[in-house]
Amino acid sequence: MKNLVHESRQRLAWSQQRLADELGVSRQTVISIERGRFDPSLPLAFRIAAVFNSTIEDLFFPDEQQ
Amino acid sequence: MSVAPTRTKWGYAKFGTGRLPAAAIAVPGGLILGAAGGWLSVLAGIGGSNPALGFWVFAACIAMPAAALVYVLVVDRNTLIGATERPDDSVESGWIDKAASGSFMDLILVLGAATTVLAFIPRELVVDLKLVLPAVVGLGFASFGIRYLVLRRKG
Repeated sequence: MKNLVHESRQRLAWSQQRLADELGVSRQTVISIERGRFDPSLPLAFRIAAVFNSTIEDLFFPDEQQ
Repeated sequence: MSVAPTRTKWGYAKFGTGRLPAAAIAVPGGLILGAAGGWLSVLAGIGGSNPALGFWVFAACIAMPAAALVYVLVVDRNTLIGATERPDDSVESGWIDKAASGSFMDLILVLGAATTVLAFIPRELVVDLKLVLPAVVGLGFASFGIRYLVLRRKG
């Protein structure tokens, strides 16, 4: 699954650690999500969307749609 | 009145509504388990010709790992400095799950293959069954550790 977490974080000028702290997860989790190597759980995806004031559909895409 | 910090380097163990520093339980617990191990070694006669020396050697060897085990069992990880608020949502939790299920599969495969081979070896070749449990435990640790490290490297 692809995502726009990296772009959204850059827009806010947040560090990976800042985003990890906001989400209550490890920095490695943010790194893995941004690289597309870890698909977050649904509750975590909702929290990611919430911190970016966005929706899950706007942030996450199936591979073939991008 | 001072309030104890929520998170410390060694964390707390929670009991109902109260809590205690985890080390305050782990250290005495380890000492008690070490003494019990030393006492058992004397009872079993594996402490050597000098029971008192055997007791202290076994107690000293068992106390520290036992304290570490008690600590791991009782500490509330949310009270450790640097702990994430939601460890279950972190990628490390997924790595642990994958490594554990993979190492379980490895154990079944290796034990199945080893049992098949042992069924056909000549009777003259005797395998000491006392080696089986340490071998299984060692294989489990090694498989889990290697799998976890590989997953971590992949990121």
